[in-house]
Amino acid sequence: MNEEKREQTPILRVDDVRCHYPQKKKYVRSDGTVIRKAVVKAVDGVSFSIPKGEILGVIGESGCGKSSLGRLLVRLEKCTSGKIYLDGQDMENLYRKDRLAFRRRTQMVFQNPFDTFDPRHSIGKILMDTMKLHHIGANDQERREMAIAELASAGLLPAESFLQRFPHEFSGGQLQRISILRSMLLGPDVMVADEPVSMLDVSIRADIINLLYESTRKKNTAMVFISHDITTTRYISDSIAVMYLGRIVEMGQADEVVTAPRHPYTKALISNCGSIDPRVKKKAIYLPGEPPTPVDIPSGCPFWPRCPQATKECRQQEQQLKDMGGNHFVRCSQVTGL
Amino acid sequence: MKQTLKRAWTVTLGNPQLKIGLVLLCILLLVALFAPVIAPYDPYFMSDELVEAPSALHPLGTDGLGRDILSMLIFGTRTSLVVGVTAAFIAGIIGTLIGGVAGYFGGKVDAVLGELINVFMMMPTFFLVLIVVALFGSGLFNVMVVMGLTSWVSNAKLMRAQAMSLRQRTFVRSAEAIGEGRLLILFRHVVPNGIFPIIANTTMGIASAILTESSLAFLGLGDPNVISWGQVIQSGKSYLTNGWWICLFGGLAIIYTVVTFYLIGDGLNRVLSPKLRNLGKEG
Repeated sequence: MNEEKREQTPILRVDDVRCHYPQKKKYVRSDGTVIRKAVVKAVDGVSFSIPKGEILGVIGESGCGKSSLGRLLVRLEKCTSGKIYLDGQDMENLYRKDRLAFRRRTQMVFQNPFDTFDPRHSIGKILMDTMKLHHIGANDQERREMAIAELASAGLLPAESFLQRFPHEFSGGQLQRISILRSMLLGPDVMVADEPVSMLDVSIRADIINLLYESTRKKNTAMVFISHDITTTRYISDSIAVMYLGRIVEMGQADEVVTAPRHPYTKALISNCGSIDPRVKKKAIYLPGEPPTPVDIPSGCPFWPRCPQATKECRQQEQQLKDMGGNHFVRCSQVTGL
Repeated sequence: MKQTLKRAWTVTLGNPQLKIGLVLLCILLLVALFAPVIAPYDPYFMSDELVEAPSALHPLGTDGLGRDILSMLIFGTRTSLVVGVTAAFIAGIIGTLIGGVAGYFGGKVDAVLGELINVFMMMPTFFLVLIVVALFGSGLFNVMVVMGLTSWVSNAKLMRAQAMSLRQRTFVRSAEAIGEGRLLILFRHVVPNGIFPIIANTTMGIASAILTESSLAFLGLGDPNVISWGQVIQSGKSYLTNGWWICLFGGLAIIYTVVTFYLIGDGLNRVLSPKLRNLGKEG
């Protein structure tokens, strides 16, 4: 592979990934018909790729499969079908060959910082165990010093006193910082942040976002930033993917998706987000009903029961992502492509 | 560490069952430890006074072979404690391992181990012990091991439930994401965080192991070389009409010990479960 081509290989490429959970119980529709072998299609055919060092924001309602997608990307969950490529190599193979080496390449920051660490371990032990596991640092003394330096660099001062303390003695913001720096310690190629600030006080969200942003930029780490907060996602991301019922309905440059959404679902989502500019009064698009359960996804375009622009065609014809030019993709029959 | 101990102390004082149980246990341990000092006679010594009623010379009377009951009971404490603790300990370890693996690994492993748990749950422990004693002799060691090998089911069920809920916790998932292997996670995170009900249950298990051993000895299947409470009762069986003290005091000793361990077990159960669940959150 020559140099130029190497440059173009995306660090993370997701190819038609699906994640289905078979249910034990059968599912009864409201009209009385029964689905015997119910399957929750949490992620249902997602494809995208991220160049090295870029940030992809994933937004969508709760239950749309964002978090499942995140867990697939760090191989906490196995794909039902489809492939994920890390720097051109099949992730499943990488994982099988050398689990630890693979873990060093993809890391995850979780939603709930209060439960991210074992309540019985001190922060020092948590950090040093991680280093020990990945053979970072020659001995305990060196690892201890590294842990202190890391804590200090994240603004947790005095760092020495933090080592002996236990997770329940910290605030959510502090814990999330520790979580981020522990993950970045391994120098991952891809970082998945699953709603990293949704459980934190508004006042410290910006700090955490900035820490995530700076530490991934510093090591040229690509990031998948999962959130339902459109404003934050726009701020941090290079591009944004909008998910609905396990599929990507629109994907493109962050600013373009937010300012000029093409898909009716994205339009509705963004019109309901008030805080982009308080002076501009926008008319919120009202979507009737709730998203259908992922057990029983409507035929055709899954959005048709709630879509203001739905036609007869939408009910029958499944849509593919269409290239709108300029790396903008939309999955809708009403939007004409190039 | 100091804080934890201090907290444990205040919590213990706040729970009457635990407090009383621990005091009773201390007495029991002292008796077992200083048996040769406390006991007025050698428990194996057969005097000429057969089936003597309690008197100044023999405070709890003598049995059919002229042995001093008080001395036998004092030395029997050692046997009962050793048997109870060992059997319950074996059961605790096996239960934790099987339950932990079943609950944490889930899937097919859980299906297989779940059936194994069910099979052992239906197995009548006492009769199994009888068979083993009949086949391999009535050594104390055999009895302890067999009791341990058959009474782990309740521990396994508790640990399985704990592991299943801990598996969903973020810290277990984050340990997985950071690269820890499944066995490491099981022993570093799942077992230490889910062990408390097992500790309480194992304490109760000590009591039932002591009862089982006594029952065996009562049936004449105990280790004849070791003095135990069941044996005292068994030797008093034929003198029930003219020597009530033999069975009565033996029985009382068993009741005392069983109550002690039940109090501690129940106390631990109350103290450990709700309090430690909050530990991960505030304060």
